[in-house]
Amino acid sequence: MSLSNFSPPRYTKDGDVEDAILEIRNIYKVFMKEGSEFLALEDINLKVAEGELMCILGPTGCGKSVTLQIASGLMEQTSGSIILDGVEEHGPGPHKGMVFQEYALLPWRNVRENVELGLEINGTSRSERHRIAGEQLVNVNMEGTGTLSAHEISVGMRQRVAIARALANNPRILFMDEPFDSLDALTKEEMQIEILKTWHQTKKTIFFVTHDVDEAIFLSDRICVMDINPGRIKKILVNNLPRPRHEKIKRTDNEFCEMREEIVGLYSSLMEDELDLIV
Amino acid sequence: MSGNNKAKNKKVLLRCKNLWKVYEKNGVQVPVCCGLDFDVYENEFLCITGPTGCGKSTILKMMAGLELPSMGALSLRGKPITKPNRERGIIFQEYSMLPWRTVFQNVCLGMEILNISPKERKEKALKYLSLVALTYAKDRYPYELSGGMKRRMTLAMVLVTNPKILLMDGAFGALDAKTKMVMQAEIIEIWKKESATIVFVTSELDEAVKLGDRIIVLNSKGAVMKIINNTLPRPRHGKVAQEPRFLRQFVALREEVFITLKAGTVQKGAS
Repeated sequence: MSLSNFSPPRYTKDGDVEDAILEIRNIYKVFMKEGSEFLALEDINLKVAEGELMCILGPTGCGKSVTLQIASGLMEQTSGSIILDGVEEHGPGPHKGMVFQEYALLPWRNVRENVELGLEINGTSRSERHRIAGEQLVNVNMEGTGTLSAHEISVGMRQRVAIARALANNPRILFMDEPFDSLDALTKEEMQIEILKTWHQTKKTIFFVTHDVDEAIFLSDRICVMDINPGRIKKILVNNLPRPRHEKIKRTDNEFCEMREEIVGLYSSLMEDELDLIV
Repeated sequence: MSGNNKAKNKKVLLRCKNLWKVYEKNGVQVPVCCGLDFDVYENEFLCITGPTGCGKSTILKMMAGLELPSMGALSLRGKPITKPNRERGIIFQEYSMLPWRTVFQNVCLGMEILNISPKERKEKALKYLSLVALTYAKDRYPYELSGGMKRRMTLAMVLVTNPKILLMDGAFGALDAKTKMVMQAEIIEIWKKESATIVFVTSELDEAVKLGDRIIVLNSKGAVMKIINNTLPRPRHGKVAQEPRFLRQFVALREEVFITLKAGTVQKGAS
């Protein structure tokens, strides 16, 4: 798909997609816990469209991170399959970019060298590495910072470098597991706006796991709401709030509030102490 | 409910008057608290928030008497604060406990220093262990406790000496989301049961809005940006907090705090 004729994904009436870049098909995950079997994921079925920003939302124990780890190849499912670009996938690879809460930059390398890490490993030439790193640093709004050391920059900047590093391998899909969870309110908002800009520029498909309701509403094209005991999909919501979100909508606006209320309402059957979603 | 009613017949417990704290850094005077003027009322739950480096923890340390102001004065019921004292209990983000003592023995520590009789020590320790729901773990050692349990034990260690005011610095910061929520609901229960006065420093807006009767927002320079009255009805946790009406009030107030915070923050680093 060329960038110029990129169009937002179209959904069927029940919020599903027809042409998926990623398909999670009948995934079950069973863990052994104190000698007995524990069902962590029950029949997860989800299609993610090309260029889509899909948020997976749910309280602790719903298996949202396990879903991400299986989809990205870090963990093996008990049964079911992961299809990427029509091919069944096993294990991680450079076409699956990852950004986690811990940014795992190498502190003895500077910003550019951190972004080049994956390229260096797969033998990309020096000049090509430089070109790509420079390009990706522009994508995360870090132009001209390549020579700063990784340990000197702010936490928000480190997250950006981690995103640039994932993008440098030109992945088909970017997996993000609660990347902004430990940030303070101001940096978090800044990073949310930043990732939307980067997404817009690069047109990457993003699979974003969070337990922050407002974050999911602010970022997503669709929200896959998960439930617990056992971990399963409760509902998939299409998010039609206008973009760019930071200009067109406020968290206090009626449409935003209605979406939040719908999501919180989905959890009305949960016990109080089971619900740790934040808004 | 209780919090808002109490605030009406305001009685000053702790007073900050034109409070300044200036540190010297490479020969340059760097102010961290700039002319702070506010009161903490009896039975109030006061939250203080602000950007990194705004001096919010320094205020708490001065209230505790661990640090002295460069200028201005602090007083508790009219008496100047000059050094640490049991009437002001402080809880930090890091746990302060003795690893070779059991939960019960740790809670007794303060009372042993005060020479309280073993019988009374036991009674009070058990009372506060039950208040923080740790009776079942009283004979365990700290290493056997989860983060939330350690938090509750620290709380019992401080409460058992009957402080007039409880100073909490980012106390729930290191906990996971679920434990944090449980602890927030618990501290409110304890605050109500004990008719305590609490000054709670946090960098999390949700937490400030969930807990406080008032929220003091500081700016990057360490001055008060705004003191926001929190009129959200209590309780603010559990099922009621999921109702649309409450959610909207909550989000509106959090937005007010956020906008105030943003206006007072000097962004450092990249864009």
